Amino acid sequence: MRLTPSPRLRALPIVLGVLATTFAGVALAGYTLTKTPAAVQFTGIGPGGFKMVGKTAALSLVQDDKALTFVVALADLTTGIALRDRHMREKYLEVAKFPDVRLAVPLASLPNPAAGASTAGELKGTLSLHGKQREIPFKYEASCTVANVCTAKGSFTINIKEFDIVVPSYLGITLKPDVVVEAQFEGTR
Amino acid sequence: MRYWSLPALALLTAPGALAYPSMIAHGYTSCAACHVDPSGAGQLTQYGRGMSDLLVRWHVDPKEVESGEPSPAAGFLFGLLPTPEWLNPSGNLRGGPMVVVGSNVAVVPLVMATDLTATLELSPVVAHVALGFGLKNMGPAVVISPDPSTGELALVSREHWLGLKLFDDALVLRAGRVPVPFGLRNVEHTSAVRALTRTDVNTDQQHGVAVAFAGDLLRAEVMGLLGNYQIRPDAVRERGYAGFVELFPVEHVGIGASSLLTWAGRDLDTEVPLLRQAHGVFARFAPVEPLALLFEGDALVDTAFDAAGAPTTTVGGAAWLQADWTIIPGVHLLPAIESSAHGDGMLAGWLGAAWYPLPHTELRADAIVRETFAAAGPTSAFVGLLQLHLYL
Repeated sequence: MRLTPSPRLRALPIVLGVLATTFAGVALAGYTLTKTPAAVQFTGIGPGGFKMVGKTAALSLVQDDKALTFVVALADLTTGIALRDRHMREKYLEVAKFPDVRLAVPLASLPNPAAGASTAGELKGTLSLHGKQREIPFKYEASCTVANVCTAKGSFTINIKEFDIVVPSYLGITLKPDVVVEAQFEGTR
Repeated sequence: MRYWSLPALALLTAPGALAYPSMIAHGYTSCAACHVDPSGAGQLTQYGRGMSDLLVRWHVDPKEVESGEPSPAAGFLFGLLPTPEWLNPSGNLRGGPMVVVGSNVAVVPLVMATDLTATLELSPVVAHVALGFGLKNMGPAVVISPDPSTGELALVSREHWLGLKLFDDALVLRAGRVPVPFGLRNVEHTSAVRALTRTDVNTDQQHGVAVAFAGDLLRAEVMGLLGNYQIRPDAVRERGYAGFVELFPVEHVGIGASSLLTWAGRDLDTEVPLLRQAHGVFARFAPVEPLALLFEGDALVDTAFDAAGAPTTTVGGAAWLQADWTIIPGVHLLPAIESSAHGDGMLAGWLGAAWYPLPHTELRADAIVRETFAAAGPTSAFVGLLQLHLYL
């Protein structure tokens, strides 16, 4: 049994990675991230209970007059296993060509919870990943303190094949193309 | 009670097959990706061979892990013999010297495993068999022995089963001689939690039908025990059920519960009708990647029946707490403490160290101190064991 199988199998379990990031629903216009590290992760699953989680804190916010965009740099995304990370960056996400993933949410749709209030719901945004763009729905929860420090978290599921990402497969373990992406951050307004 | 009536050598011999519940430290909660058995232990899958080479083996240059693929030597027979994807052959060779302080024989050479294993996978059907030759002291795993009085030179089959994988391998149905699903599947088969519950993966497999489930939030297996058909007469065969469920509430944490109930018309050890129960909890926790903590605590309830059918129930317990500390990749320190109350009381401390210098090669040393509290007074035993373990 060789450990260097066909090219198709060499793919790393890894996966999927990264995909994304994103979101967080809430955004709130004029927001600035606090020093509390953001948490972005994707979860891919495979056969027999196999699960792979990739994480990064490299979330930033970019806002123009139309949208608030959540940007996650993929270079530091890690799954905890070095070789898997390398496969993920090089073979699947092609980070050198597509260094980040973005979710742009129209400002007009953004919730703006009052100080001391919280909100939750579903929004739509445009996800840019691996050179492809698709509108996706995502769920969010957000709350703001009376001091206007707000926390937000969001999640969505994507099919990586829709973003032309090869489904990772390695040594007989093939991940499912559906990947769950979750993000959480804290900001002030 | 079987545990205490075993010969000292068998009782104190240490670790057995290949199983690493501590892989939860690497984020692996499920066992099925790396092991042929969906609940872990024993023969590795192709993926398991690769991860063993990357995550378990010692690398002279740790950067090899980041820059390279698994070594071709991690394949069957160290990569010398390519095999088709549907056939997974392997081997499990284990032996070494044991020192029992105070015994008449200073050093006892042990051959613990000479198994050849093969798994045939024609999706969704999978068949698995393990055969060992020339072994002794293999008790309930023996198929044929030239001299049943000594059990030497026996043909051993620890496992042989036929399975069906369903729903993307999330569900595995098996029938045959299967490891009994219960508790941590730790390799220390003489630990009280394995020996007293009779759920080790060295010789305690049973014939029966098992259903295993593996998801991202929980894994479970339940087995109907039909008895071990490698022992006779039929009255000594234990019938009942065993099973466990393990939940993963957060990353790097597993919390589980196990239950077992068996009936034998003539228990193999006590030679009386025995209703045997074991119920317990276990947990795996990796606070940081180099460290995994493993715990199991089991309640043991035996109900024996005399010739008149009058029952006598005894209640006891067993517990195990182990740390698996990866000092550097490929070198593990494995301290553990255990206790039991099942007949005599027992308290023991283990200090193990494992080094994986080459692909599929393990060199392990164990020092075990056991204090037994019997009616006649406490006794101590000290055992040192050095093992070379090759899994082809």
